[in-house]
Amino acid sequence: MEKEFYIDLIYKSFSGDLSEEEQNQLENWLSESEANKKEADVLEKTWQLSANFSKDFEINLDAEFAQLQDRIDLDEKGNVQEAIVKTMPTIRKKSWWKPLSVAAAVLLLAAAVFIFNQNPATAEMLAMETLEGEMKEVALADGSKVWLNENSKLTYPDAMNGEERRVTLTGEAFFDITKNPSKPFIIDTRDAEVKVLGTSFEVRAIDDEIRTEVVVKTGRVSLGKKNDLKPIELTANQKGIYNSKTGKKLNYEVKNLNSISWQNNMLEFNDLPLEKVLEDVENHFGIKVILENQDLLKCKYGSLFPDAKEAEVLKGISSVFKMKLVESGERTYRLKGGDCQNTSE
Amino acid sequence: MPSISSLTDLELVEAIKADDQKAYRALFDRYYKYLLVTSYAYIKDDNTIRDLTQDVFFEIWKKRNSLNIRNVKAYLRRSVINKSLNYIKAQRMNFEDSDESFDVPDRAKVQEELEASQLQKVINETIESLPDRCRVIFVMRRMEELPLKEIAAKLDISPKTVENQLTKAIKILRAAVEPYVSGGLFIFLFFGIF
Repeated sequence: MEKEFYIDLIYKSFSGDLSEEEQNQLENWLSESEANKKEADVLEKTWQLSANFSKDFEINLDAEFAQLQDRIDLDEKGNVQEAIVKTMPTIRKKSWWKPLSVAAAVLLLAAAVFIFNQNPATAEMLAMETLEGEMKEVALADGSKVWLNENSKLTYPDAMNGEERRVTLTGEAFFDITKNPSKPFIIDTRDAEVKVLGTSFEVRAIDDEIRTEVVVKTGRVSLGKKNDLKPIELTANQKGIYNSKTGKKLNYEVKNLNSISWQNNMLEFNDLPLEKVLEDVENHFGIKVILENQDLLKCKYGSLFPDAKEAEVLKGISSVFKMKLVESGERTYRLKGGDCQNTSE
Repeated sequence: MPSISSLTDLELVEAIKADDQKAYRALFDRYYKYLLVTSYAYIKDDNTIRDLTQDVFFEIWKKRNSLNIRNVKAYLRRSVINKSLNYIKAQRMNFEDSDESFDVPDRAKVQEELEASQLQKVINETIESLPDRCRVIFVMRRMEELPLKEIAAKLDISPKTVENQLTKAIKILRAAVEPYVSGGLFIFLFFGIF
């Protein structure tokens, strides 16, 4: 028989099963010579290696995830709107929904910030920076105040006599802005700008982020790209997102505003899963909380601590779920036992 | 609580079921590239495989409350492959046999210096360059280890076509490794690998 015939048998053995007769034919052929064996070997090894197929991709996981996050946000926004339509009368009772609120609090997660100074040449730019664990207060020329959180940098003019008040930020800061309708206050980040329509807000801008996120506590703030003709306007309890890659903007209601708790020392939990609550508590106080009863992770918890104190918050949470609070090491607490008796859902 | 990266796949999924976004991100980081490569074996289009892979993760989050997964990696892999196959079908890629000829790549230039990984690279590149339907069938057989009949059923073609395409693939691969066979390098290489 031709060599081709046996080679075909070998191919066939890879793709399916050989009959007993074919199997015998092949074995006889293999025992005939070393060359035949080698040929079979090469095919066999090639077949083996082919299972390890792989390919190198250049991937920026942050950017890829941001894209996915956009989709989730958009999807959840749809859900939220639906929920609001259904429950409008009960949600409306919140007092800070009043449209006349004058204070605005903003959380902004944004890209690295480049410094663009659009103030008139008469003003000199100053800069204030904080190190890890450091917080600084900056008084601006117009009487506004800025609290810089750790690892942040604010660049601002020493005088504010232009048509607008413009500063740039990298990092995280809380702004308390002197109201002046004729001179808008604008914060630049690398990709976005935040325009203040109220009087106080918070901005957080983190390096290498494509998305700019703004969370408004009270008041009104607008968010968009540089010189955006149609920025989105955000009001109380709303989160806005601007993606500089896709150019997409969207906004939706948020439940958790504790990311700005460092400034006002207020912790608010609107029926959040306990797991999330404890994460906020850990971040706020810089402590470690170990939940022993993992069955409670998903239990919903709601409460407001206007001036949060460690002991008070921990006791509050543990008592609701009938857990025992034990200090177990430096800055570490254990929550033992308890059950999910609050059936808020 | 332990660091996210030390959690097992199943622990991550449990956390995701409890709305843990960090765990979700960790799962994404762990498997995104793997799923891209898996999908790429079927569809050689960067944008499409990104969309399909993101679909998989999107659904994980969307369905997080009702997830019931025993083997996370297998589940994700299965998901992206199903999506890839659905995509291929929607594109109406022609999978039936036709009178086509194929060129065996010319790899006459034998490389002097060889590393073990280079042979794998040659094989990877050859698989990548297989004609679409030949590649898809080959990948289903080789990576998914599906029986001939199942491949035929999934692609709605005859088992004979599957067999022909597999033979075609292995012939092309065999030709691609030919330069490495001469001089006993090939055998040496394999001993180096295993």
